[in-house]
Amino acid sequence: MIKHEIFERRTLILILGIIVTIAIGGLVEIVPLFTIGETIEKVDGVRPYSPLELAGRNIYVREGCYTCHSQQVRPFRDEVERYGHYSLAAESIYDHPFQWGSKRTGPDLARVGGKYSNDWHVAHLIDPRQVVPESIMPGYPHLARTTIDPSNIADHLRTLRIVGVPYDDAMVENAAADMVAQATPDADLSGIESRYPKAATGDLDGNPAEITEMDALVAYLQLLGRMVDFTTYRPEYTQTSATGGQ
Amino acid sequence: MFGLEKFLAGVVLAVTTLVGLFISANAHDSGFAFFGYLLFLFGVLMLFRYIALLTGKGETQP
Amino acid sequence: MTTAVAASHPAYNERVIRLFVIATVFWGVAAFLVGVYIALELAFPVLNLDLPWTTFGRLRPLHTSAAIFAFGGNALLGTSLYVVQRTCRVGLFGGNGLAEFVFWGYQFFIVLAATGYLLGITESKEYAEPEWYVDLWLTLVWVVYLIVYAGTLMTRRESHIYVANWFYLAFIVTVAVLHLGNNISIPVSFLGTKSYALFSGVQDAMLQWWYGHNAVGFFLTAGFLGIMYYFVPKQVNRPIYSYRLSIIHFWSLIFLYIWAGPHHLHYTALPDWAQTLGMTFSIMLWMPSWGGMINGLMTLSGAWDKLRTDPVLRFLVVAIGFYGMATFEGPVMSIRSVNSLSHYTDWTIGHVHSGALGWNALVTFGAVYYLVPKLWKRERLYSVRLVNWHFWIATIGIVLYITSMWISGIMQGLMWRAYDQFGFLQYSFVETVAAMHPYYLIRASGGVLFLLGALIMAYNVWRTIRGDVRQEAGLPAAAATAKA
Repeated sequence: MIKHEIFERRTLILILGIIVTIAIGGLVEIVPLFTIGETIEKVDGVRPYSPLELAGRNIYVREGCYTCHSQQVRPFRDEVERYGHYSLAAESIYDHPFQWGSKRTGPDLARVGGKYSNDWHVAHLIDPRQVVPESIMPGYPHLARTTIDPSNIADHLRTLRIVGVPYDDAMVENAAADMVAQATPDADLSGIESRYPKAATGDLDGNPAEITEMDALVAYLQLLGRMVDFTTYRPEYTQTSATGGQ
Repeated sequence: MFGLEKFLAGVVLAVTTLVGLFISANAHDSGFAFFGYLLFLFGVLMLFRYIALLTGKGETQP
Repeated sequence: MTTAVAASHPAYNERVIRLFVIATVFWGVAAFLVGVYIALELAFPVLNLDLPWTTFGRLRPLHTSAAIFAFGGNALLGTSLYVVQRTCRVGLFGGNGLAEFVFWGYQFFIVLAATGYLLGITESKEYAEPEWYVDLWLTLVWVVYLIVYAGTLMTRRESHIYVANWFYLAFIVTVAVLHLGNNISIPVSFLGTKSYALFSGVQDAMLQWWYGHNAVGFFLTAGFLGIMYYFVPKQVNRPIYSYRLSIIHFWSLIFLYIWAGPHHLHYTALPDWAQTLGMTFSIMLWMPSWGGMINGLMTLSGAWDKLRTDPVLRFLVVAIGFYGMATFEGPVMSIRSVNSLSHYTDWTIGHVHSGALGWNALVTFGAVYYLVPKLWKRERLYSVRLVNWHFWIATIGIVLYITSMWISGIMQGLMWRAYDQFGFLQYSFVETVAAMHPYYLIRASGGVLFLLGALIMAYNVWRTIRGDVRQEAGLPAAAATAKA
């Protein structure tokens, strides 16, 4: 039986006791998420962000959009009806860091992609109340006025590769070109379409002459929730060996 | 703090100011350049503060 | 605390504590001011000004970091370095030099983080928003802080380490572990601000809320229990109620808290087993939390009448009451079915603020009022009546805040899941937004009152430091003395 005195007389023993005590819960809850394979099942369609989408995501992070918008649909009847299929673990597997959010001052955005036109997004981001009078969202007119420099986006892809996002060499080499092509109307989209299926392309921000932060953010928003085709998706645990599961 | 420690603290802070200048000169984005300026400022102000403390020109009460 | 101490002690390092107390008051006012502004932004979005630096999204982390790390952090660092000296009867390890590096280094961390948020420099991880280079700087400052604190313990002249110091130590050590674990990110360039988190998706979510909940558990709870364990018995001049309870609730608290993180992730893509663990341990956590509350409150046994005349004690004791309330509400909200309603709503915000305002802020105010006369060698505070004003204004502000958020939060949750008689969703999302407006106004008014109380405190503290004494009658049922 340990007498508590030992912790009260020996500082280092107290520190050690604290470290051991607090380590247990973290280890039990965190480590298995990396070792249990079924934690994140493989789902077709999930892919890394295109360079323009990545730039848009970085704007989303920078502006703190997560403080009002979640990106995680829960498996409730009302939620699925309002937003779409509940969010799968695989859908955020390339989100460094995750953007599930913890507050819905505004609606969940996990499946906002394709639900509104590019023009709607541009008008809404510049002045939300022009489109939704009761909205309390801030306006972001500066996004449309700020151009993006594609020259260092490849460095971002390389960094993401280090943390495990499967950008291949072709993606990294073509990063700057892909970024420009995605937001340029009538550009050659063959590269983008093969590397980043379902990417939103064309004159996204209503200003065909420049690539702006608005292009990037709209590209990101228009992708959200669209990677997985839910008409053909079946959860792994429902699959038998006959249907291709484990 | 005794003699050697005072000297060491001064050296560390001086290096900090130099690192701050280097960062502000070579930063890739303006936010990081701003960090460099602040780091430089911190080093300089902290050096002055230590000098004031060690020459007894800081507050009178310990 | 002990019987009459005949042995002398070397001079305590109080200069740095004075700095911390001033910083606590300053950052408190700043944090509450930003809080009021962003609360008003939700009611009047024109206040976002259509400028990048003043949007809610960029100002919110300014408020949360200012409240937790600037206000709360300076309170913890200052009181811990005061308490460790007094309970060990020894000056600070490393003397004034090392301690002042901790102080100024910590203020520098705050300035870096705050200016960064306005510029859009953020990792977007809640309560861990500062980018990689700010994280590194904080690590340095924190290591020095631990050295000063643990070094003081190791060179102590009291044989036993007093209970307040167990809690402070658990706070310092665990925050270090959490900070290191949740902030691993790879910079795009060592000459740029941007970095990418090492982990993603589900794993990053678990890591974030292992961190986030224990930022609450160790920064805002264990550390502040350290404050309670020293300042309550000192103010009321009684020993802590139960030594045995201290031991049991300390170890069970720090053990159980760590597991609670997943209750922030109920019904998300986090695996069910983790959610269940999070829920179960959160519910169990109610017990050591209330153990702490009981230990603090029962310390007033035989001295309850002092509450009638001592507003400083009122702050400390009511804070413990709010602590009990929040640590009951938390486990309730951790139950999955309750959480299915509360998650993403204002109820979470109400819960946070009942803890942050009711427990953390009120106990900090009590500690500040205790410390200022002592540190500046004044007979008493400038005005005890102003402390009383502060107490009542702050408490009414808190009640307005949390009740408005309970109503709006539960209303939001119910409206989102409401179906009409035809089986369609009854409300569009924006209808729920419009319904929030009056509660946002009430919440903002609660915040304004809380800010006003803090300004009264700042005034009182300033006059006390100057050595002024207000001519005033004592509080009703007071004896002749108005000593704080």
